[in-house]
Amino acid sequence: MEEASSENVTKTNDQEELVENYPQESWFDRNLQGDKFIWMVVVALASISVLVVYSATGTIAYKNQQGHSHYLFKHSLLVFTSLIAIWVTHRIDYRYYSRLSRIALLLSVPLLLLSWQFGPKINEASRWITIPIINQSFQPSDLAKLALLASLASMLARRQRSIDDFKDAIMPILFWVGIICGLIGLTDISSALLLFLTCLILMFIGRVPINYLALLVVVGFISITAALYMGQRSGTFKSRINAKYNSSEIPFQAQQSYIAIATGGITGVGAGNSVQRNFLPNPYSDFIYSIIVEEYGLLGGLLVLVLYLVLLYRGMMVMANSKRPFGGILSAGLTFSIVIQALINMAVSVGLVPITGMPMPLLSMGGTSLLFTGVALGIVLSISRGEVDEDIEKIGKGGRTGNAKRKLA
Amino acid sequence: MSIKRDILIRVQLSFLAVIVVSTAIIAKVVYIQFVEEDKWQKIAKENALDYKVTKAIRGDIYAENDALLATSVPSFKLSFDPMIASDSVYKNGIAVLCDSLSKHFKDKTPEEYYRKINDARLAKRRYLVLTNRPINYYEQQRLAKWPIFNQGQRRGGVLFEKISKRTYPFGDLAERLIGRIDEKGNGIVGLEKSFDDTLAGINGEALYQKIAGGDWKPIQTNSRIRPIDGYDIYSSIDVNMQEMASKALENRVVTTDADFGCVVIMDVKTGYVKAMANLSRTKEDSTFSERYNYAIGDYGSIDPGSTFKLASALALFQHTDVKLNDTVETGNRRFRYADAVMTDDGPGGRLTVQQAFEYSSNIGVSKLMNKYFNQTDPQRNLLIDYFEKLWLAKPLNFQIVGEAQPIIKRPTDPTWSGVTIPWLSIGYECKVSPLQILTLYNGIANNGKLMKPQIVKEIRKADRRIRQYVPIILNEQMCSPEALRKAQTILRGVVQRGTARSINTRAYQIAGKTGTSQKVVNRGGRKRYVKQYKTSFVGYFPADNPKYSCIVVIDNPRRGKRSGGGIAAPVFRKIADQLHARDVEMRQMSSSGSFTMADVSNFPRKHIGHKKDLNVIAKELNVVTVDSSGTMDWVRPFRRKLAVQWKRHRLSSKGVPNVIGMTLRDALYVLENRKMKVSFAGRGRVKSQSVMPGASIPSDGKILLILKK
Repeated sequence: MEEASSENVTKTNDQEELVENYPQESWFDRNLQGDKFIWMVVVALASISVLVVYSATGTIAYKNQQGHSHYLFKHSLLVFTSLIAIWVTHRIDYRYYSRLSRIALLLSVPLLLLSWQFGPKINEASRWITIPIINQSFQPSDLAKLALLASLASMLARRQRSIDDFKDAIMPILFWVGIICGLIGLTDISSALLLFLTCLILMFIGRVPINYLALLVVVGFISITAALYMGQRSGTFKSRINAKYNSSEIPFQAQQSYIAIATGGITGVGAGNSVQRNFLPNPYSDFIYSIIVEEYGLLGGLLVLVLYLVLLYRGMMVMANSKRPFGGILSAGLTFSIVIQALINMAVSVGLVPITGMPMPLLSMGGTSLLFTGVALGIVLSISRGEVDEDIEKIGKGGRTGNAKRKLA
Repeated sequence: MSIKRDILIRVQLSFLAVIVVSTAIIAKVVYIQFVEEDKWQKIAKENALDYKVTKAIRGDIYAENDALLATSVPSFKLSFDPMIASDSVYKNGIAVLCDSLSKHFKDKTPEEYYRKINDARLAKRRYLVLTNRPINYYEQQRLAKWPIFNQGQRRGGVLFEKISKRTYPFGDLAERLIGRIDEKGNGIVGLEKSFDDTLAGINGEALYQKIAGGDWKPIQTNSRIRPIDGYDIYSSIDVNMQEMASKALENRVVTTDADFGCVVIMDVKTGYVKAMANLSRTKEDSTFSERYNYAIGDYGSIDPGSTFKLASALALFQHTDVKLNDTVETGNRRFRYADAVMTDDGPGGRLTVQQAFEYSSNIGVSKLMNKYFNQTDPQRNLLIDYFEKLWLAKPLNFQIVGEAQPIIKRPTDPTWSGVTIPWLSIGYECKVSPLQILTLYNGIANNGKLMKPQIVKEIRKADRRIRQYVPIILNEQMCSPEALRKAQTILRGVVQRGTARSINTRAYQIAGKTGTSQKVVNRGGRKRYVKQYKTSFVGYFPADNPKYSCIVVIDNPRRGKRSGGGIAAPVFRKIADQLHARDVEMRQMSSSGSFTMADVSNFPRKHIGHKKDLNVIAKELNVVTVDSSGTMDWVRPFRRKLAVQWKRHRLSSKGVPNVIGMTLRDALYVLENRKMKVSFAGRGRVKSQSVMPGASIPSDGKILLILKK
């Protein structure tokens, strides 16, 4: 909590500055609206991401006999694209996302089925489909995740007054959570579990009674068990669980990760000097936190963690300031989703939970994950901005907002 | 408001949970870094890990009929960890092991092996290379049964490290053409280089962990890259033709003491190269070997000489109305163009156009060309454009690297002069490779359809075809049918009456052209001809239905008649004879049917064989036989004037029989009937045998035969 209070202090200072500068609106003020701290966290994480991914790809870049900078360029481009995605989504009034999320949710069901049945198999799991023409591989579970969280927030917000009604309020929620988590679980158990956990938190925040949450745990358990039997990943899942809990020997990957953390010390071995990147699988994604600790030490690891906590804190503040339950719940849901995923990634690296193939949001290399994290953050920023909009209505915006209001009502 | 408050409290509770988890993460980092630090640092040091390259297997190179020209055979490097074997295993086995090693590798005495291994064991060395010679799979199987080695790697300490060895089953045949690889496995010349990427495949990589006993254990990780083995190359080379060409060339280059030579044989209809032999003399010791591809490279391409006259003839017949019986004055075989004098090996005097080409008159050809193509600029451009259409001025993009950039000057060239066309028309002042010349003649043989020469037909991966190189037409119609007929007439005439009449045969028709170019050296800015010649012959056969085209180039012969007709043409004839005799299909097509002509000189001399077999051969050749061998089965043929006589051949009734002069098949039959164990070296007939005829059969029954063609 100490961090949080110190953030509060800086925040007040910053606001004072903003007031002072208000008459001459800077480019940043005009174009980067919404919560300034979230923007700062985004920029900080994006910069760290480029640095660490550049270092961590040293090994595959070498193996593929391509110039090292190939990955730097590709990743920088993706980071930049996701920044663009943040900017675009934060310009749109967040109330549109309620409707958009329902369309995306309906769309993601066939997409998930498509990737399960027809997607190319990377590391024995077909989580990807390739979009024709632009030839970019795309992970439908990322879209489904975002759509489910937004829809869930929307459903919860609309049913706040009758949240105890099982048939009207709880049933649709349970239905969608079950369907989407189950479909994702067909190819990717870890993501499904993570999403399920996030949904639980979101529902807890959205005032769903505890006994229904308990019911949901049962539903989730059933759908994930079903997915395990139908899907492709039960073998891996079992072996990972076995490796974590039934074996006295620490798995090779975990050992290498501990070595990375141990050699990092307080200040780290320095940027680009990682040795363990050669021995860790996916050092640019699943084990990026180990590389961060190895190169930048305990302090670097702490910094990254704090950045995510600031993000979560600011997401919470957005919620506190928002006047509509939809915005508040959505903001909380999205920031929690990002931060929980980051925490799980770190927990894997330090060996608190079994090994999953979970990328670190905003930090890891990887196309769709980066992009959808960007969209999620953009929505959070849009929510934070949306409240400002209601105070200072701008010309031309009024009509659109009015329409949206009517549609939502 | 109470709803919002409720929500906020729940969010704060969740946030608190996140803080708890975060603290746990940092606590775990601190724990690993400060409490477990030593443990992990130690493991980091012990855990020797390394990425090791897993080599992709290089693809094979095949000739026609799937004969294997180059292949990668897995072999092993024999090394040994002398510390692994227990004292009892070591003591019981070491004497026999050292004895076996010494007997097998013959490079050290058993005592030397013992000292080497025992010293290493005493010095606690963990790794000892026993021999540098790679051992093959069968040897490895045998060695693995020897004492100590039979305990395996874990308990005996023997290490068979797999290495891949490139082998060429046909030895140095077509060495330059097939190519070779360097120690790193990259192709350096020939097909090996030209198709290096295709053959090489992609090496894989895998992470290995060192385990006790100095062994490396592969670790399954996502970052493991599997090697992708190389593709196989299927070439159009015919091993028999290659061998034939190579032998005929070598024979000629050695007997004439030439600098280098090359032979290319091409399939007329498809343009596929069936053989490409090269031979060059080493400066130091005057031995000969295949080390430069003269057929396509720079050194073989300068001033092709009179073989180029076909291009001139085609230009005349295509673009002017010159008739074969028009005449041209060649005077006293010396003619001055501006400041340069051209000499002539032709008969001199007034010749018909046909004779000028058939006798290869430099003055005749160049005067015609000068008259029709060197008067105006459009004429000159027309001529050079036509040569370009005949694919003489640009590279053929042959599938083997090292092709020379041809030079045929354009009138805009700064070195172009008034005498360029006269000299170009007889094959000087230009650079055209033997392969290009052959391509031109092949086009004439193929009724005006110019085929692109190719040597690789297919790229395959096991049974899957990756890429096919189908025959490619460079020019559908090189010239008008009339011009084609004229060109074919003069090429046939060269062999019938002209400079290559010495190789004329009635068995089948040869058409072609000789070339004798004098070497030019620059002395003080002026070109001087020196008494060094490049002789060549290029043509096709059978002329009435061409199947193969072939070029022979012999550079700077020091002995014999220094002309294309005298030096190179006989090589052509020899190859054509062999191909003709071999090729049943061609024999059926042959119209003259001279095989009914009884000619004893067709009968192989000194061929000792079974009477029944020889009678079959004689009957096939329509040769009358006189049998004076009595009841003997084995006979020695003698050529008489009108017949071949069988004389008895004594095998010697007791002891070792006399098999000298027999084919290997017959010799094996005779010797093995007497329970002897035969080994042999070389090819052809038996030249000598290790145990004299008549001597008693040695106790082990072994005999070595030396074969020679």
